[in-house]
Amino acid sequence: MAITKVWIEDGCIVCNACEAECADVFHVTADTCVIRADARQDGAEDENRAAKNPLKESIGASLEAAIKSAAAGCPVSVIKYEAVASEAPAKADDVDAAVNKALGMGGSVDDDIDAAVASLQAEDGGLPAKTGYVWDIKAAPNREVVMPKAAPLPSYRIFVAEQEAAKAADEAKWQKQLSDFEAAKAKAAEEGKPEPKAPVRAVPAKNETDMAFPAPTEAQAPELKRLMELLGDKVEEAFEQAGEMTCQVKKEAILEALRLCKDDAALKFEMLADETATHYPAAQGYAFSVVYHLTSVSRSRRLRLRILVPEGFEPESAEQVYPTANWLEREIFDMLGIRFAHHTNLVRILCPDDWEGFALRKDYPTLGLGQREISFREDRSGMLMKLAMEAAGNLGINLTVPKPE
Amino acid sequence: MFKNEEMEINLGPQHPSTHGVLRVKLRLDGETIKHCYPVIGYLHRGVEKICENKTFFQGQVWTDRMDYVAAVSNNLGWAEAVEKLMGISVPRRARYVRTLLTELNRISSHLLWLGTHAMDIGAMTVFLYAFREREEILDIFEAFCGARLTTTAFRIGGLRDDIPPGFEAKVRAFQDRFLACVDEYEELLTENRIWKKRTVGVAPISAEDCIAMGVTGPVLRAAGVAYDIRKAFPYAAYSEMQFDVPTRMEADTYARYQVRLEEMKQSHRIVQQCMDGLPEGAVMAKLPKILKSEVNEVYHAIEAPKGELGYYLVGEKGGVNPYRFHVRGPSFVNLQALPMMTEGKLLADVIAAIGTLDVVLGEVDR
Repeated sequence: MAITKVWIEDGCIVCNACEAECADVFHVTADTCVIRADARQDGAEDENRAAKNPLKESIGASLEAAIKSAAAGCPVSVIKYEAVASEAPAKADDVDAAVNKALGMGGSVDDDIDAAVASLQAEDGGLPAKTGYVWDIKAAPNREVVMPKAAPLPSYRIFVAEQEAAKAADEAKWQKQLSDFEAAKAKAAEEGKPEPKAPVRAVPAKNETDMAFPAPTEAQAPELKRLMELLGDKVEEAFEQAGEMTCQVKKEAILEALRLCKDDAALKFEMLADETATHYPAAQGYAFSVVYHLTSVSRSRRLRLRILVPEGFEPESAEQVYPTANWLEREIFDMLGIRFAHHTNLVRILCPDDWEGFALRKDYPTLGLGQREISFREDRSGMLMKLAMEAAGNLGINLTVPKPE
Repeated sequence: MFKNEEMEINLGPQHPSTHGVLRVKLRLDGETIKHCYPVIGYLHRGVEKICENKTFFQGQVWTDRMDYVAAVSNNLGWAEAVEKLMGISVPRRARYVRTLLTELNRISSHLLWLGTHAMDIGAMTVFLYAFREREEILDIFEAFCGARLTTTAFRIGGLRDDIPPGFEAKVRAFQDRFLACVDEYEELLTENRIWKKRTVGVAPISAEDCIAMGVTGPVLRAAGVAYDIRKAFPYAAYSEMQFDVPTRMEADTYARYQVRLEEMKQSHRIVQQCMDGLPEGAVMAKLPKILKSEVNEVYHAIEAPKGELGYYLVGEKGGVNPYRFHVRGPSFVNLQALPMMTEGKLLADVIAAIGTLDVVLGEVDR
């Protein structure tokens, strides 16, 4: 991918965010943001709204990530861009590959999700076919969804593997720089030219903000140790991060883990504060994580239990231990489509009973059929009505303009 | 002679005593409730989905619109959850101002509860008294951030601006007057015979049931459990504040009324400490212009006026918006206990029970 054009829509609030993110392209003036002359082919410096003059190719390719990040971070979303797919296939990221290798997961993370879904649908009794919200992208292009490329599962194991892979990649880069330098030196000596400059190892930028990422650490808390001792190999992982304890157990053992947490004298997590789930369509081996936030009222402690479940798996309902899970699990079913075994009343709770699809899945679009994002800044004298009638036409509805009596 | 079959009726969704659009399916035997089934979702807007597609800064305005009578509490939860996710440390002055506004918000939320709950049960006058003071608090919010209800009062990392000139005088004027006002409400209600008949022993729920159903906030404390997140897991500046957690043992509607009145007095105490001990210094942390998260998940809960308000956030590497956002609304979880509180009781008690749970449907349905 490379960015071909970038322009600023009306409504810039001069917040400087884009310039902080990508100063080579954006420049914030007293009343708006402009595209720098150096970055453009025509050399003018303005908002580029009407002209949509293309960017210089080198800039569009090299600063793609920074431009996209600035556009995503714009608080009023006025930075727009056009991008083309580059011809060379994108290489799998070195770090990703190394992480996969370290975790024993073969292949790239960017697996073909559609193929996987299709193969599941082909099997009898597999995933229910998407009979729900079938939509026609051509009729309503704004329903297209961008699927996440990675599965951000917080985990100490993955974090350590990532750190090691990044360190190894950094070391390899440095070794390559050194060997390049040696080769250049030898070549220069051969040709009698002055010696090239020795490379300097890049040091990570100093953090000058009040922000320090809370890295996960090994399980130290007595609760986690007690759980690991009681559950043995049913614990998949236990770690601490941002002052919170997380214990990931095998999906079949969740009921046992919940019972222990509630009844064990050393744990005594009497209350289930919250239960929710997250959709990870890009993950391998599972599709959802279900998390249980337990509170010990008597000891003022919190614990997060987590299970990873594949599509179609029905975890045991926590209602059997904590009655409050009744509504919480109904909400999970309503929003993410996870069914729970032995739940007393697993019906939709927030959406109507005949609703189609599960809204908090990542493949569920944010805009409805024929619906479009309305910009309140655009001409109100008929533009919206025209677009609404077009949208209605897509649905096969004939609207007529109301006539004043 | 007389027919004795059971009758099914719908309470709501447009009944004024349901405080929004709550529908309760009731099966009655005469006036006794045999079965109670709350139906919710009429105000569902998909706040979680929307926030997952907005940046961390943009997400905050949506939290105003969940519990719209306690928007400041919702803002505080959001800002602190994001700060925890990214590991941002907030200046002490900002934490004090946040605490101050959140406690004023607790008073205003309890005042709205008091006025409407009393009106549901038939005491009209209290409403006018309570709204008089609530108005003053909303004026303070307006002076601070320009909005009265949908405040978006805080920013991630601190505050947008320091407190404006004249703010302190406004708060002090309110502080000087407020305790006498609480006495006025008490004069109207506490020993009022009709009020006591409608509330004493009505809609009880025991401490064990509360914990099993996840019920938190004043309802849990009125059952004798001194569980307050401000004490159990201190956040903002609460670890530096002196205050008590009021409890009652009776676990009925009257006990919850007493707990909430006492809480208002304690909030008044905290506001006073914030004003007197307000530290000097910056109100905003140093942050990059565009906030990006790392892979992390947090559950951050605060003591909202209605109970435990928890935000669950999952961040992805380099993400400018949350990968997953979930709200554990106290109203949502507390409302689940409604059948337990009303089954076997009288129809008129349902109105008292909905009022005493203090649910806001904007938060139940999100």
